Amino acid sequence: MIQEFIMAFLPELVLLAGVLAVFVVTLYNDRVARARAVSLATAAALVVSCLITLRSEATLFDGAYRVDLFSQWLKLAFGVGYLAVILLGRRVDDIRPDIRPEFFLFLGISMTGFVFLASSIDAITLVVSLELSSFPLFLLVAMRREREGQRMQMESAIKFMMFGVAANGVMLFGLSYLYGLTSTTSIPLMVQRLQPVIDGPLALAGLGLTFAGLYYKLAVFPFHFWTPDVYQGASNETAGIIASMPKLGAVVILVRFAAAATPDNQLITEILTVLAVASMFYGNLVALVQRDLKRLLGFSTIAHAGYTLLGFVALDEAGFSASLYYMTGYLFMVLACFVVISRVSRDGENVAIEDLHGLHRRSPLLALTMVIGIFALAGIPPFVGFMGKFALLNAAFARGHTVLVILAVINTAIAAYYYLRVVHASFFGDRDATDQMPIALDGSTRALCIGLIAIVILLGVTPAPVIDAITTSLASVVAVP
Amino acid sequence: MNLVLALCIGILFTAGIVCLLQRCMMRLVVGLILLGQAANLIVFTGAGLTSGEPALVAEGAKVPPPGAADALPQAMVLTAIVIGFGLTVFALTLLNRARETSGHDDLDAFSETDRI
Amino acid sequence: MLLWPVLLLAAAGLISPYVARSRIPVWLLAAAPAGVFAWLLSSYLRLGVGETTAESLGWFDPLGASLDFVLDGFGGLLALLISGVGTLIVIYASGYLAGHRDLGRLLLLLFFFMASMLGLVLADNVILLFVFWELTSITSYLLVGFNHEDKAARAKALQALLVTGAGGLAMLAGFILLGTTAESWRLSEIVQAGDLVRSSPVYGALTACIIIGAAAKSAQVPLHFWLPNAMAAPTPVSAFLHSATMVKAGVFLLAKLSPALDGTLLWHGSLSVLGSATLITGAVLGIVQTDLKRILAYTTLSVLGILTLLIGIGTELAIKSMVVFLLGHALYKAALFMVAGTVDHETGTRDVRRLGGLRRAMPVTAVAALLAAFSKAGFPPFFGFVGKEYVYKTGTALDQAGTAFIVVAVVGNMFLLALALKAGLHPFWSKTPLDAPGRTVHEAPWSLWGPPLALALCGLAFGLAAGLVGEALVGKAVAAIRLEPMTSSLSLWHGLSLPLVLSVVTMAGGLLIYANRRLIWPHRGRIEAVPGPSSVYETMVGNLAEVAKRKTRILQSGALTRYVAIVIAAATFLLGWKFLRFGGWPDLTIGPDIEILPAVLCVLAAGAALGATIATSRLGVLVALGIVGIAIALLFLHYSAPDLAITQILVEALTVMLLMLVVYKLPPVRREPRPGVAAAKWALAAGFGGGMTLIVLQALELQVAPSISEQLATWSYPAAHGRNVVNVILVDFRALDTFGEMIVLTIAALGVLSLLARRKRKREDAGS
Repeated sequence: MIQEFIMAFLPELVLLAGVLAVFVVTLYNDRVARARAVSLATAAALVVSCLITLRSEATLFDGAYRVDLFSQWLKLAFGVGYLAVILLGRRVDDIRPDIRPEFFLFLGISMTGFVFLASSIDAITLVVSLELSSFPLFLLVAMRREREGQRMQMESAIKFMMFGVAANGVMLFGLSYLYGLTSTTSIPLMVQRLQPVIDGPLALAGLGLTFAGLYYKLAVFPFHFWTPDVYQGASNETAGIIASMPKLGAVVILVRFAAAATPDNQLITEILTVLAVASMFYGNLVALVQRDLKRLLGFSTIAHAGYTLLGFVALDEAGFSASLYYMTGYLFMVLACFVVISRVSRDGENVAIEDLHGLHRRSPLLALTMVIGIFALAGIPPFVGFMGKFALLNAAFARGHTVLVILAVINTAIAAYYYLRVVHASFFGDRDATDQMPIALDGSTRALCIGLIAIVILLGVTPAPVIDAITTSLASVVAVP
Repeated sequence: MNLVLALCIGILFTAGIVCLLQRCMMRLVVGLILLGQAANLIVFTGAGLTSGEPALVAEGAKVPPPGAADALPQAMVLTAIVIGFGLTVFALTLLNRARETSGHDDLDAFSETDRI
Repeated sequence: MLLWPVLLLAAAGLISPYVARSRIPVWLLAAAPAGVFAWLLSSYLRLGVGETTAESLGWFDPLGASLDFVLDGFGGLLALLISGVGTLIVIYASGYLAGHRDLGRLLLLLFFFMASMLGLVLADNVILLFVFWELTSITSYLLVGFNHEDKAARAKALQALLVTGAGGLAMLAGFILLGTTAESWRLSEIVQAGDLVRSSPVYGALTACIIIGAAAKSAQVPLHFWLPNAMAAPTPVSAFLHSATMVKAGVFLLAKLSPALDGTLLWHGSLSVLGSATLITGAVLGIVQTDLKRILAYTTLSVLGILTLLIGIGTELAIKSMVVFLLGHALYKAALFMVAGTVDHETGTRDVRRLGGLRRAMPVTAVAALLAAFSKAGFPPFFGFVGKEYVYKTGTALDQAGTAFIVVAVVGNMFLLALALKAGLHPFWSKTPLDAPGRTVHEAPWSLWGPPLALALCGLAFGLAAGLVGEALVGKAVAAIRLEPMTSSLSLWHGLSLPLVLSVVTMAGGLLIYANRRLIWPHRGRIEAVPGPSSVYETMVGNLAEVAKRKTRILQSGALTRYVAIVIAAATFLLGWKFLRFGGWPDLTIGPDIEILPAVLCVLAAGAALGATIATSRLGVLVALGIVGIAIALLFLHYSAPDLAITQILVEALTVMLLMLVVYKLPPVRREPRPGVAAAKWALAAGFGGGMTLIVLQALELQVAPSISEQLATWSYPAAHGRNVVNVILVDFRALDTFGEMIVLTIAALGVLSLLARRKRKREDAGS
């Protein structure tokens, strides 16, 4: 019994033990390097334990926690992302010196939240996991070093937190309706009991509010306002985390709830369509005029959230798996961009597009990583961004949302413009570069760059096994009992 | 009775949002607190109301008396109250720090990140 | 097996930077495309008329994308051109950029491009084809922008990519429609399903999308302007991309899909119009150019126009002429581009007004140029002549619109001839004094004259052996396009006939234009100043940026309260929409069940909340907040929730105390000074609050299933030995959640600490 429990709960146990170890480390002096080492070991162990438990199945904690293929591969994605973020963070130079070790502590706690999230099938556990994952992130934003005249981090922290709290509140609120309606907190049961009443205003309000909380995490218009500001105001490492993990987490929960609706549910489709279109146009148009690279990525995130919603508009298994596949890919594309940002940045400062000029001479590997990351974001084959978009478009198209597909394609064209400005700068720019010093990369950064490039390409050229796996694992989530 | 409660919740929300839309920090905190209260009240009432029958198991009995209040939403609200408190405290500290760094408390002036 | 050439070329690309840095002669890299060429040639020659070699590997089958490749007569012909010309280009580039620090990078991109192009013509799956299609756009973008010191080059590269990229997206839309309509993603099956496609309601849309995509790639009017602008590319790149390969991709696709799409007015009409317009535009704009490469670019436009026009006509003769013309063009145009590059390399200029008499200094290059120019001009016995003859033959055999076609073709060919002589003859044989300051012009190294000479000689040999070429290459290609074998063979000489007369007319007219070329040059500025699609493009890009800026200023202003207002307005809209669309208004009457105590508490809480909103004294706000908290706590108590009441009172007390500590540091509470804005805020808030009221009412009316907390209550004492069910739920049934909650609180505490710690230290620093 206890053995089975440990086998199923291994990743969480590993992570909790690791976080505890980091906590102990932070109590001593001069601890940054050690905290990082411990976190690195934890992340590696997390990845391994996810691989070990990939096939285990169990329901724990009174039905609140489900371990299956679906949850385990998500945890694996989170684990790999965690590992990448720690490598990316290097010595977290841009965090206030006195609290650098705490960066790793909060990061670890946040990861715990995400890992819990993947398995939560109970509304309360879900809310708590969400809080657990997002709360440390509020702190990480505020932890950026203050330099002369820069107070962005506080600004960002306020915006992030305000919207975050509101979103969590709204979600809790939506869940309480759903509870009121179905009298259960178990999500699968909830979803099942919702089906007959799905067209009632209360069920729609409940689902709508629950979704709204998630839209905030995904940065869907008009719940996106914090995104660019936070990307810009947070340190490069923190922004990298915020840009990647919460999105995948939000998609996971969305999938769990969206399973309540059938593809012919017109109202939900309509709302999602409006949000998707608004997000795509908003994000892409505003991104056109940005100069700060992180801010540009912030707006592009909004557009990507719009693309992701395409899968939900379809409201079927193909759509959900396309969204999950896309988001998994997105996690790595955006991390690839952030690796470059954090290395190009001088002393942790923000990076403008102009700062990339001459990157291909300063560090060919970084330039390559950037170009591939951006091409993937722009949806250019053969990278994962293309296959993901293709799968999304196909799913939406199969359900007859032709206009939406066309609008999405137009958006891809607009987006190409600003993405290419980045490629341009890093690949061609030369003359006007102010800083021509070569950038020396340590071994772990090289490994990270190559690893991310490999993932972005591999996911893109071998989508079949990945999507198959997602679809198979979705069966347990979407299947209507 | 439902209508009175619902109206009360509606007014709490209205007041909270008006506060949230003000530019000064003090009101922002007040708004957050009011919204938290309103949300708690909604969750609490959403599951149905029972007066005078707390979900307690009497001495000698094995189960609470029939018709006792629904315990689960109460547990949820309790969690929400406590987490809400944590958030309020953190928000206060953060705002205070922001004011110290910037020297003012006008929320709309926090727009350094938004220049094109 | 067909995937291997693609991979081999990509691999050659990967090693080329290392080769360029080592002492190995760079031109040896040409062995890779040469090997591919040899292999393809042997496979191609073994292929019978109308036969194909197909193979397929699984890739992404649920979405229709799989690695299907096919070697057929037409795709194979282009594959031969790509690998053959590619071999020569690699040699040429190694000479042209010898010693350049970025030679390795250029070759890498060139090989990647070659691999994608090869994949494009061999792909048998529309999605796979699209992938390669976009890859060629991307690699060509990187290649065109290669001269990155030059800002203009970079802007031009972007323009080329945006036009072809946007076209590519239209094409993807067209492909998806086509694939779903024809119920197959394989090109070889789609072309068999022509009737199905033509009878579909989306036929018009999908055809339009595909034509737009192909037109963008093959630089058809009005999407042609990127091609001359892309001449900023290094010459080996232009010679490869803009003559033999990339620009042919659109034509290739149109030809390949013609069995599925032709037979309608939309197809024939739009292609004929596009083709004719491109032909004439290229000719007119080309004649005023003085830059060698731009002259060649405009003639490429004209040729692409003829090819499109021929596909639009679509008869067997037309397709045959298309193939012949395409083949001939690839041979002479690549050669002429390379010659132009060689001239530039040796003299430092490409301006025809400053070039002349180079035949003495550069005899071999001059011969290559002469041969290529004659083929282009359509002089017998070159292959270009065959192409032109067949174009005229097509025209004379047409039932309707034959005259119009012949007029367009003759005029176009006249200009082509004049331009051919201008680009290939003028620099070497004219009497214009050479103006190349500071240069002693001499013959280029073999790697610069060898490749163009080889291609130009091919042009001659193909003309002389037209019958053989017709059998081995053209016949197979025509059969592959039309899905039926060609009925007549290819020959150089057709006897005295109308086409020959037209040829003579063309020659006379062309020579006349050539002789007067100097009269035209001064008018270049005036003709180019006419606003065309290029300026439309500039305006569009500029406007897009302007719209984006304006929108950003309004919506992403940085004002926090405005953000909040937008979010709330959106939420209110969503809530309101539900009620407006679905009705279901709750019961809005005050029932008889009203209880005095809770009603008073509600009024108290609501009133105090409003008070906290309005009050301007700091103490007043705090007192009002306290009242709200206490009133709600009492409500909890009344409705059987003692635990909640206790927690609420405790938290309320702590909050108020904390606020007191902080509040007196904050500036006084202000009110919104503008009454209009204040009213709007109240209205928005009231809208949201009203929506909430409605929803709460509805929630109270409805419940579908029995609560699970019945079970929890039943188990509470027997299983967990707790009498207070709420507490048991928190610490036992839901222990995991409570644990999480504790962590959250801990983080909050740590966060407060980390924010405060800093200040404390500052103060200490200040003290010491």
